Amino acid sequence: MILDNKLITKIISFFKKLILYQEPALPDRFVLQENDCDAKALDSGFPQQITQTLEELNTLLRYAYRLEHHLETVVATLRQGKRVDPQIIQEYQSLQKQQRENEPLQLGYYDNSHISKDYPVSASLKENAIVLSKLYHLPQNTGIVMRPFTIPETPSLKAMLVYMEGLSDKKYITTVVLKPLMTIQSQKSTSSDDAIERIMKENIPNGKTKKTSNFRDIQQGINSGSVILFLEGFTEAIQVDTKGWEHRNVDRPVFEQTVRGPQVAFGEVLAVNTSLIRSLCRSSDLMSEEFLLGSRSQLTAVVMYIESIANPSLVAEVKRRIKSIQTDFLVDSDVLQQMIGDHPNSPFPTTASTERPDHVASNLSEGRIAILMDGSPFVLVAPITFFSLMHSPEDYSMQTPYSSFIRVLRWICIIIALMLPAVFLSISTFHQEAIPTDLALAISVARDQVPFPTFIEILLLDMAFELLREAGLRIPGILGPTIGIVGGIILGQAIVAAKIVSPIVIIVIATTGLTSFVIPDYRLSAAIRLMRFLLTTLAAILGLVGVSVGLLILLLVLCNMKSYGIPYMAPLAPKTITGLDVVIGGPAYRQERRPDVLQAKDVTRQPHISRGWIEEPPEGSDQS
Amino acid sequence: MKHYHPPNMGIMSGVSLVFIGTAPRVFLHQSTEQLSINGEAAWLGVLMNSLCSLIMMLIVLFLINKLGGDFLSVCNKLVGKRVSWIIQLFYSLIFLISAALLLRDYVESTKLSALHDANYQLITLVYGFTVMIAAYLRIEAIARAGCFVLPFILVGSILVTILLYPFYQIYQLLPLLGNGFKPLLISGFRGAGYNLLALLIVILAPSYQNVRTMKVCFLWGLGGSAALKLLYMLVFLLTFGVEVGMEKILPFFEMARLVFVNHYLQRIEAPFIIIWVMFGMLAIALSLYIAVYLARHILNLTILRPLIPLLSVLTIAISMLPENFDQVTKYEGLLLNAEAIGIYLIPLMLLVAYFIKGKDEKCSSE
Repeated sequence: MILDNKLITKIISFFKKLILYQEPALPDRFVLQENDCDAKALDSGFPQQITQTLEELNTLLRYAYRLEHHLETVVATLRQGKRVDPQIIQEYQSLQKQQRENEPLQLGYYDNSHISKDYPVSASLKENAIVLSKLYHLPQNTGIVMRPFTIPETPSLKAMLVYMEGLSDKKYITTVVLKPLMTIQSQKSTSSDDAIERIMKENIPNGKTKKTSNFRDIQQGINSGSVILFLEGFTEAIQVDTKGWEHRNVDRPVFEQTVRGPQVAFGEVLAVNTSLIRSLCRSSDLMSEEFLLGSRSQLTAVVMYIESIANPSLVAEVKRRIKSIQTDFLVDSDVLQQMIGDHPNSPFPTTASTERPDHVASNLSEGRIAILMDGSPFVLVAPITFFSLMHSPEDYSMQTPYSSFIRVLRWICIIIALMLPAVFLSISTFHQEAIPTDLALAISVARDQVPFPTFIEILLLDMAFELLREAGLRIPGILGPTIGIVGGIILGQAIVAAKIVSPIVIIVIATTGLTSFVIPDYRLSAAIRLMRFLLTTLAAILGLVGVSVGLLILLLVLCNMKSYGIPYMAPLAPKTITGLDVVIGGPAYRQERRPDVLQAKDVTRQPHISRGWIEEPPEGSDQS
Repeated sequence: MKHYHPPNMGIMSGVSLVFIGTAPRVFLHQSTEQLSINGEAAWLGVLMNSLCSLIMMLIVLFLINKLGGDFLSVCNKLVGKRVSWIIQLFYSLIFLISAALLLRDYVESTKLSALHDANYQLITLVYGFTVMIAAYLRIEAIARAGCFVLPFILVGSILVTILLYPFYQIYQLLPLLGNGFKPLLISGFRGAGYNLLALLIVILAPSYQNVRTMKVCFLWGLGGSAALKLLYMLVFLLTFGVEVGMEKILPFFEMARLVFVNHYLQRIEAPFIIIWVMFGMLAIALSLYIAVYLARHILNLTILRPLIPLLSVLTIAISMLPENFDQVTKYEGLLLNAEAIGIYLIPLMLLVAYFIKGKDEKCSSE
């Protein structure tokens, strides 16, 4: 009977399982909870105080254990009737220093539970290791290497090396720091106060070595590839520059290629970039001042300028703007530009961004300022004007008549890139009388079967062009340009065959697209493309009157803009004194003055007659 | 809140401001009006009113040189705060109404020349918005934009006058005295009111380095504007003559339309639309800005920008009041009388006041 019951129960359970929905035994899905920062802020400081007190007690306890161990060693030595050796004295001195650190007031000031960056270096290696573990969240966080070792002096000295794996050069650390210290043969006492100085001078063969006494500098050092050497019994550490992360080698420019002139571009390493500039501008008053940016990214920015040329107010303003930045993460020079630029919401750039050292060097010689950022291969140059953005580094390498011709061509191109679709739309829709009758008829016949107004035609094709351009950039490798060209041809042919747009609009948009790439500055080119859309829309509403209104507003906005205090449209509006280097370029010997608008300390670049040989008779010629 | 600070402007900016402020009606119907009053001597009338306005401006400069400060402080010193307040209100209203009528003029001209089927209210709103932006970006931006527009105006004007040479008929300038000496004299003096906006240089005197800079601005600005007006008047007369010319509402547009060099270079009026619209907008914005600047003084405000949208809307509203183009012309005639008071009567009154009592308050700015 019991068996029967069990069987029935089993059968019922089987069908129950089969028919009824059973929730799968999966863990709950992850849902990101709201941040409880606000709740924490409302809490009283009580738990934090308790944590702090606990940490203080732990610190004191560790000190007590160390003291106990030391006293036991001393007692044992005395009982054996031996002399107190220097090792014990050294330990005693170290304990004395640690005792001073453990005074209640000091412990309370440096909240040990939330270690601040200003936390001082302890005389105890163990304490320093604990602080570093807290700062770098060890052992979860990998990458930090802490290497304890002993310096074989008399008495031997405990030490610890700390560095970030991957940022520092391991071979270099072994050769320059570890090897000399581990094979030290000095008989001088390491307990003396000048031991750190002596080690730095005699045992570490590195040019960039310095002492640090707080964890702010230590963190900066470790995070930028330096190695930190802690010594037992010393409240200072030694920072040795051992930067050695992997990076791209100095290469040819990618976006600012030229046929003539230097063929070197910046890379991602700040020191290499500054040296590239210094190699072209070997002036002893070429200043480079460092600033640390981003409370978390902690990247270095360098402001470079020629002290005897650059306007001091301009330099001070650039430094003021950089110093004032308060952000946690800033990793690119273009982002920095948004933080310090005059008009971050304008599509028009107010700083030049270049990857060419020769371009930066020539700008520095004019009195401008270069801003470099660690990890960014683009250097910002400020202040600039709209006209300087239309200059290409190659202009100075070519013969003047040709470079002037190219510059004029560039200006024609910028006008075409900005206005051609808008003017075509206006004339074909509102002012047909402005074009010869034959051309008007040709346009009319070409548009005969197109079902859309010209504005929609232009918009469709312009958007398609922008899409192809963007897609060409995103598609990897050699496929990008290929797909761009093939896509353009196929799309163009298909769109005409389908009578969606007329062939003449394809010509207009293709010409516009081509001319927009002639503009040397990429960001200016992007701004012009954006403005083109606005002008085309205005042209669709009011024809040439709309174009005129759009152009005027654009002109007014540009005239109102400033780049680090100098008018954006200088030297034409306002009119300032300038050399032959605005639209038409003059030969190098005619570039006698620096641009007046930069208010350089030294306005004169060269004397009126810089080619001295024209006033001197050739060798061997008859003076009479 | 940022307080108003006078901008620093140079000679080029000053010249472009005077030019923009005094020459915008050259693209409208001013030449036709002169033609109907003076006949073949219309060009002499243009020359006379430019000379008269230059003389009056030099008188104001003389007062500033002697008393220092700007035009408004000179008024304060010579006629007292109450009368000075009335003078400022008078000028502010004139500039505001002038901006409104000029706006309506340009709207009507646009409808006649470029956009026959467009709604005039739409054009007014677009122009009004543009003018507001220009004024909001302040005088520096207007002056600098003017520096860019001026070369195109000059090159365009010279191009049209050269390309029209096959239509020139010299005898159309004769008789030289046109309708006689009396109308020439009256219109010559009265027409100086068209140049009232040149006064902006002395109103904004703190923006300029010294009296000499202002004098150069007047000479080149008014001189250039007079040369342009004279050139157009002569070419208009040479091309159309008095009888035909009096029927043309927009002389410049008609002249550009007449150009025929060959099959591919004919009827070039369309590209000029871009230039004259920009020039007109800048002139209206300038007039509005000076009206706002004076309103700030009258109301004793520290800031200027919040007034600009307000007065822009007022300008647009006033510009829509006249029922038709004829009424606009009628109101402009009345305004010209008021402008003549502004350019002759008030500076002369100040000069007399200076000689009566102002000498005691000498404080040369040089």
